[in-house]
Amino acid sequence: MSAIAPTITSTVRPDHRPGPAGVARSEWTKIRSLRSTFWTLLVTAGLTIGLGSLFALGRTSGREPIGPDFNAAGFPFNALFLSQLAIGVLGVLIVTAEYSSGMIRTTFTAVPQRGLLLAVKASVFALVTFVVAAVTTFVTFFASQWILGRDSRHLGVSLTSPNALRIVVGAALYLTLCGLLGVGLGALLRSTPAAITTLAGLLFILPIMMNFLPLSWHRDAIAQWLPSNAGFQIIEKVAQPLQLTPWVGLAVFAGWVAVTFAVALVLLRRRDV
Amino acid sequence: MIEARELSKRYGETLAVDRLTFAASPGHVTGFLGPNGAGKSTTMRMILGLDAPTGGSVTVNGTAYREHRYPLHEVGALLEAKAIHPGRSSYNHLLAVAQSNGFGPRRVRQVLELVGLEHVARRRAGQYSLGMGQRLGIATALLGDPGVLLLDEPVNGLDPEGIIWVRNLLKSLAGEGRTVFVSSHLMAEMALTADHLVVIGRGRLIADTSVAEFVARASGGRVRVSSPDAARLRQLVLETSSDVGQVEAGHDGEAPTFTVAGLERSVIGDLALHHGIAIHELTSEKASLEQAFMELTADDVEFRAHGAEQPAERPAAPVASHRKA
Ligand SMILES: Nc1ncnc2c1ncn2[C@@H]1O[C@H](COP(=O)(O)OP(=O)(O)OP(=O)(O)O)[C@@H](O)[C@H]1O
Ligand SMILES: [Mg+2]
Repeated sequence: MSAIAPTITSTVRPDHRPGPAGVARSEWTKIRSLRSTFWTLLVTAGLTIGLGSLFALGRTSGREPIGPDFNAAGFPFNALFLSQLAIGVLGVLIVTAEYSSGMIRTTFTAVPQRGLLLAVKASVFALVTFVVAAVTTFVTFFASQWILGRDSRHLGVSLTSPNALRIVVGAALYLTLCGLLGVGLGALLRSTPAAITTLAGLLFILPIMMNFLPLSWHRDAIAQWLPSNAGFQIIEKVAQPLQLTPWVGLAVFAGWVAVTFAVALVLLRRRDV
Repeated sequence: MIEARELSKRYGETLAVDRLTFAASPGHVTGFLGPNGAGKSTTMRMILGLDAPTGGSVTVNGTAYREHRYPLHEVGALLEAKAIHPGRSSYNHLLAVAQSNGFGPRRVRQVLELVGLEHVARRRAGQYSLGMGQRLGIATALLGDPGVLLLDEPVNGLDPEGIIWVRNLLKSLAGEGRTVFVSSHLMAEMALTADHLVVIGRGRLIADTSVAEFVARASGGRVRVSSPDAARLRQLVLETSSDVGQVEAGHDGEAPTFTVAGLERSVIGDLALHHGIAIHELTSEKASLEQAFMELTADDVEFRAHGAEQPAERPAAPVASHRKA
């Protein structure tokens, strides 16, 4: 660069270029500077903890007969059915809000390496989400087990009981992947309504629609591969009939997220902003 | 230095930019002019590597924008005012952009001060007026202390004081040896700010000249003649000049008038005297910049309100009325 006069200058150094560390700092600033981030994370945590405790309460004395293979550690995490949408929407918004405001043009002017940008944005978001999700799932676990423990049959389990830790950590990973699916869909579709509809379609509607297909069409064999069906196996105590095993299920869900990102990345490099 | 060669962009059926070749050089404010939909914003997006050209190429300092190692230091851009998340403060907006290229809070405070937003920097951008949004956009463009500035209609929405501020800022930036490329559809504003003009219409280059040349070429020196016997005088003038406008009735009892191109006032005056025709007015019409611009782009205006004044056509078509609607 030549002919830069000193009036405004004197701050430019050789490291003033886009790199992973700087972009990560920038994305962290974007995430933390919006109140909506805070509120959405709070809603995600509140729904998980609240519904998880409610589901636990519903199983205590006099309300329900409890079978011998009751999944005490995992059952409250059915709350994720709802909170997955909240975190997914946040993932969608951190991308699509840049498109709807026009900020994306500034972003890609500052960081022309679009792949780097999406990768770092997703990583920072995943880190933030995982921390919040882990706190949330641990609190959900302890609250729900305390409630179950007050039952005369002592239904609650400890974190050291078989599979409990896997379920609690797995639930946090599941939430994080839901958020990332939102990020990927946001980058792919660039519009808030389109991405949220697709997210809800993949997580909720697809599994329901499967029920209307005849069994003879290998319905069950197909259904186990659907994103939320596969991912939800991580909160099972033991592998379920006609379902993938817990870690395989979560890995398949992660595969869906990975495919979404791969397509988004290819299009992001090619498309006009 | 910005150089476009045969730059083209097609969106489906629309040819937004059509084999555009021009250059904007350091030390100058280059005005980028054209009517609505002419392709100015599209060209700017292609310069920044945001939209891919369907033909030709454009470089900044000899390199395609996306290949630059120090993008923010190379080019500072303002594409749209208020292209900010409405829930984010301008401080955090600038900080996020700055951090992505390794700049810190100190630089953010510097540019905030430079554009006069330091006192509202913590307010959410959604509450900003259009003018404040423009200032924030300019602050964003200046973050990396760039050698090339690219501004899409920066004075849009600014009050008179703001317009003068932008004008002086752009001039001083160019004075420091930077390349300043600024789009507008306000010809008069550009005449005060720019020293070079790139005019486009329907994506095509119409003019690539200095401001002075542009005015001289477009106005073409018309003479306005007012006479009680305008019709007869017009016939006489027609023997020497082919470009003579229709006679228009005078207002409030004034004599009718017509305009002539390509003849000196003295020639017309002498001619009238020779034939004993009284003359009430004989003035050279200097086309205003706005007129010059409209005439130049008349054929290339894409969107025009029905019933709006049609820019004068030249050479004068006998049917065209020069009266205001
Ligand atoms: N993303 C796009 N998709 C389709 N058509 C587009 C797109 N962007 C611009 N166009 C079309 O290209 C043409 C040029 O538009 P552009 O915005 O570049 O004009 P402009 O000179 O900036 O106009 P204005 O003065 O109104 O800002 C228009 O006909 C517009 O409709
Ligand atoms: Mg425009």
